[in-house]
Amino acid sequence: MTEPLLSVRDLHVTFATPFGPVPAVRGLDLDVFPGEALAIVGESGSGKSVTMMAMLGLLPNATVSGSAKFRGTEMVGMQSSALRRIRGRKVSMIFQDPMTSLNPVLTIGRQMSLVMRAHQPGLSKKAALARAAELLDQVAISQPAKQVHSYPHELSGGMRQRVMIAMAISNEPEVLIADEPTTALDVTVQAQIMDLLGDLRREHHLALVLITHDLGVVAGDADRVAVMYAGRVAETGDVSPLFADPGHPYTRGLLECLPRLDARHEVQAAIPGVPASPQSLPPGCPFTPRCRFVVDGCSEAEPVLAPHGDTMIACSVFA
Amino acid sequence: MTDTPILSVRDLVKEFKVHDRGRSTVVHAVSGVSFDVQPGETLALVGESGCGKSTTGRCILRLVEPTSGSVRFRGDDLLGLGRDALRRMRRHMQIVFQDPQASLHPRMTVRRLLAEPLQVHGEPADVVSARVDELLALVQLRPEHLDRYPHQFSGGQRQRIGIARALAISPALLVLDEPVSALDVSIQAEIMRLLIDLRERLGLSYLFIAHDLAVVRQLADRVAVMYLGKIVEVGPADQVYQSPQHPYTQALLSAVPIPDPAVQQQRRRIVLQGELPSAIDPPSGCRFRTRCWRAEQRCADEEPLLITRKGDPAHTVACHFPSLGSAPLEGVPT
Repeated sequence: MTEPLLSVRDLHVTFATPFGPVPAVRGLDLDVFPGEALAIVGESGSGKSVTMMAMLGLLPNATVSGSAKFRGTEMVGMQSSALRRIRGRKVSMIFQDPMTSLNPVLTIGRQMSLVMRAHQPGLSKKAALARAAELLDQVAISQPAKQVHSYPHELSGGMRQRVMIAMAISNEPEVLIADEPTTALDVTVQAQIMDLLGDLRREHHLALVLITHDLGVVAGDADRVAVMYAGRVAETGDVSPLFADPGHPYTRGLLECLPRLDARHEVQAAIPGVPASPQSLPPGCPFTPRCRFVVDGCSEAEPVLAPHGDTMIACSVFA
Repeated sequence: MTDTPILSVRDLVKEFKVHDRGRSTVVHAVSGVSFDVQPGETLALVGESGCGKSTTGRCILRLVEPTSGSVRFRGDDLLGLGRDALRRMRRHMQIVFQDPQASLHPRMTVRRLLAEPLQVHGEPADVVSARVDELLALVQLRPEHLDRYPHQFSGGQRQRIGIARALAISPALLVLDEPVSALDVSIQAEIMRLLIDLRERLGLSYLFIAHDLAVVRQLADRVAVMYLGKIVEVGPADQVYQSPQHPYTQALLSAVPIPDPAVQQQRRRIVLQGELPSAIDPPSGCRFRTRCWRAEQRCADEEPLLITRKGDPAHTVACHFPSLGSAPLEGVPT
């Protein structure tokens, strides 16, 4: 069995607010293996982005506990200087809106050089700029030698996301975390970006963590999936069995209410109510108020992951 | 014989004057769009950012003034109307926006939000009050919601309020501009269900503007696909989805992932090359030709007309080299 690159155990992330502590992630277990594409799926507020950001020390105001290891090295509680040697170098991340991630007053080439030179002190400015142009070429930006001198506002949304991807792979990381990388983009541009990420993954043997709310993207581009609800994994497994035979009532509901391009069908409002708010979670299983299959025990103890067919589910009714 | 269309749009053009590096230029947002909506029908206007679908919707209600063309509601031209006459026409057609957070006044209660359109149209107080209660029930909100403010609701509930407000004066036609795209999937399904139910109960016609083709499939009777200010293909929904004839429609449909690994992993994704051209200086002839794998010289010289090429006369396509075979992806580059 290969060792996981990233291994998360019992991760908790809590935000202090004027209204009291808000537990955004509540005991999360997750592994990311070399070269695989793992999708983390969930609705707003499920904790899918917070998990990854907390792990990389990008949430200075949150209380993080539990364990998150990269190749056996514990990252939770790590000195920020030490964490910086992993983040951006071994594990890099891209976000939904490339316009807010890029510095509007620096050229593309300059920003890319800064990222490279932060981790590769021996690299000269000139060499870094040349490397930036090579990377732009790799992400299929035309006229890369000219585009390194462009500013972010001169590029389209799809091109900006390509620049973010070029920047993220510039230090040859082993894991790329993509947080809703195509949500702000049109569907034909999404197709271009997902194609690019697939190619890069194969060429660089890169593990991809794809945070998304789009189960269509998951079906086409991921190997494994973790479905999150209220700060925990509700169901996880390989993509095929999870779609073919979902076990958790939440996964079932999500798949039932998804509109499909290839058929006109009865639209099901399969999950009543609204996504659980971390501020006011019900006792026991957090999905109870929206669940069709509730039994007496559901409100007592919160279920832990247990086998269901070929997936793992946190549900005391079906496991 | 078909009925008089409830909405009939002909040669609609909208140009925005802009200043680009000191020069005054024109953005060709909508460049000669024509379509009809029949009573009780849902026509979907689909396309990606910048294709002109939302501008078209706004021109129809004259929320932006069209540059030229005609918009007829049950035969009456809206474009020549003065302010009062236009307001009277708007009794019959209303719009629902994408983001109810932005379109509902934050300091008005639900009661006032729903009463306002009725008051604008001169309804007496007792009618207003009874109608507000009716509207609330229509969109499945509860009486205790009446005295709350928009921020006290979830996104899905806010969209219900937006829909109720649009329905207040009993319009016959709703322009729905991306009504479910800001919502989580479980909530999106609820609002789609509501829109389908309302259409049946009230006999409404919808102009459904959306970029999500999977959502559109569940709601639309007919679909018009727009690219860079023009309609490239229009037809009955099943035909457009099952045998798209325009290369852009084919690429667009192939790019939408299907949430079923067994199906999705077998599909071929047509990845379009290059970027969307600027609407300031659109390509000559066919506007899609710069990204089209079938383009020839003729496509640059001669603009293709939106005409029937094969089969159902209701299915039209603006392409010199459309796919007319049974396999819609023939000749597609891999």
